[in-house]
Amino acid sequence: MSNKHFDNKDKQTHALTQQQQSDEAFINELYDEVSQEDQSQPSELLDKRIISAAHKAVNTSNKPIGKNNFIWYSKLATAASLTLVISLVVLQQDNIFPNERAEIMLEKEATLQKSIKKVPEQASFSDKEIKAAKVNFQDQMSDPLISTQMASPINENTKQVTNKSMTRTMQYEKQTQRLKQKSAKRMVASSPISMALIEKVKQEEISEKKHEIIVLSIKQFQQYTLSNKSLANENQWFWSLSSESNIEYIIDISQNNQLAFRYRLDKAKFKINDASEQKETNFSLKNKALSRVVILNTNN
Amino acid sequence: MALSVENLNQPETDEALMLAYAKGTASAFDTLYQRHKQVVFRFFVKQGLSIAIAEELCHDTWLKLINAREKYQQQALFRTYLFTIARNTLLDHYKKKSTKNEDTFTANGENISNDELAIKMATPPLCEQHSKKQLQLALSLNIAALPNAQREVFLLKQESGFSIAQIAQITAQHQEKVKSSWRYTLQRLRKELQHYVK
Repeated sequence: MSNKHFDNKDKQTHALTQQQQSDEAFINELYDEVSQEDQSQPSELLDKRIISAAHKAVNTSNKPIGKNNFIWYSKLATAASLTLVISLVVLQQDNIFPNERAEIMLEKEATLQKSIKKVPEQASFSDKEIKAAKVNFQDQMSDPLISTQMASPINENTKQVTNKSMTRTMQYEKQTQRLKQKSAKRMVASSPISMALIEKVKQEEISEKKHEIIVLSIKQFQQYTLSNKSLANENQWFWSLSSESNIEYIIDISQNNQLAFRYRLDKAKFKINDASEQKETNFSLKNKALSRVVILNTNN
Repeated sequence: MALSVENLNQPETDEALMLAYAKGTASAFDTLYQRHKQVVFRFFVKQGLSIAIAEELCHDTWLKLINAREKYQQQALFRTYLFTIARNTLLDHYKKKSTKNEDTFTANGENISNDELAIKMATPPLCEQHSKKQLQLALSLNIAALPNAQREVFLLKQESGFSIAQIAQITAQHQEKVKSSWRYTLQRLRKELQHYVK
């Protein structure tokens, strides 16, 4: 059965092959007849175009000098462009990001403000030290025997504390001034937008000057008077009225004819008798002074 | 690089000529072009295209070959390489043509519309009186009327002399499919042209 099937298939394949060969012969015969008539060729113009294109392509690619020149020029052009861009960026660096610079300036200014505000904190820390010394001093003074013996070292201690406080305050003031000068210089050099910032800084400086004058507390006042009690005349603390307004007195406290501190005396707490007559006159901060500076409110 | 074709009186192979041209010998291309220009041109003309379009496609084909000369590798038969480029050029042309909706055939450089072709095909043959020129026209019209795939296989085999395997390589098809196309084309042409044979 299977052999018969294969035989049939072979016969079919054979028939197909014969048919195909016959068809091929037929077409070949036709082509032989036609080929003599059909001798179509591309035009001479086309031949010339193609051949010239082929020659041109070969000649163009065989020009190493031109190729090298191109590479040399392209490298030079790239280098020149890069140099130009970098130099422009460097020259215009300050004006490229004005907003960022302004932000940086403001941040620095804020940092500066913080450092200035720390000054009163340091002063209050000194107050604590003074208070401790004062309590100690008062305890000791209550005992007449000890007071005589201990008066000298305690006064020395108080003087040291006051000197510390004074030194720190002066350091902060100097540091603040330096930072402000630097900040102002940078802003002037930076850009046109810094004009507004300079104005702002100036206003802040004015307001800061106001804050620089420390408010004299009653404790500090008492401390000065106590301190003067044990000091020699040449080392004593003196005060003089600098100015007066409706709410406060401004007094300068000096030692050895050198201005040490400027204080604001709140009129709610202090009263200076005959203030207008006492302007720019030095008074010792002794008990005598109490005759001129009157403490109105001792709550603080 | 001087070519020693004439000096040795030995025909240089197409592949060697192409390699020589790729290396910068312009005269090698001249020889190649003279050998194959007619076959390429006839490949396009027999597609039913006008002479002008056939020349344009010829030009494009040879230019592509020139530009791709450095990519040519000796493993590939030059004629296969050339006709692969020609076929791709033709396919590109058909893609453009499909957008233009051109419905004309060309036989021996003469434009014939679909209707004219139908009349000519329906006209009874003059039997023994028909001339070779009429047979040539009929052959061209029948080839042009073939489906693209069959016409492509027929022309590559009959006109250009490629084997089934080479056609399969050029058209990127399976050999059996090429064989099948060839067989059907032969049957169809024989049926249509039977009347023109004595």
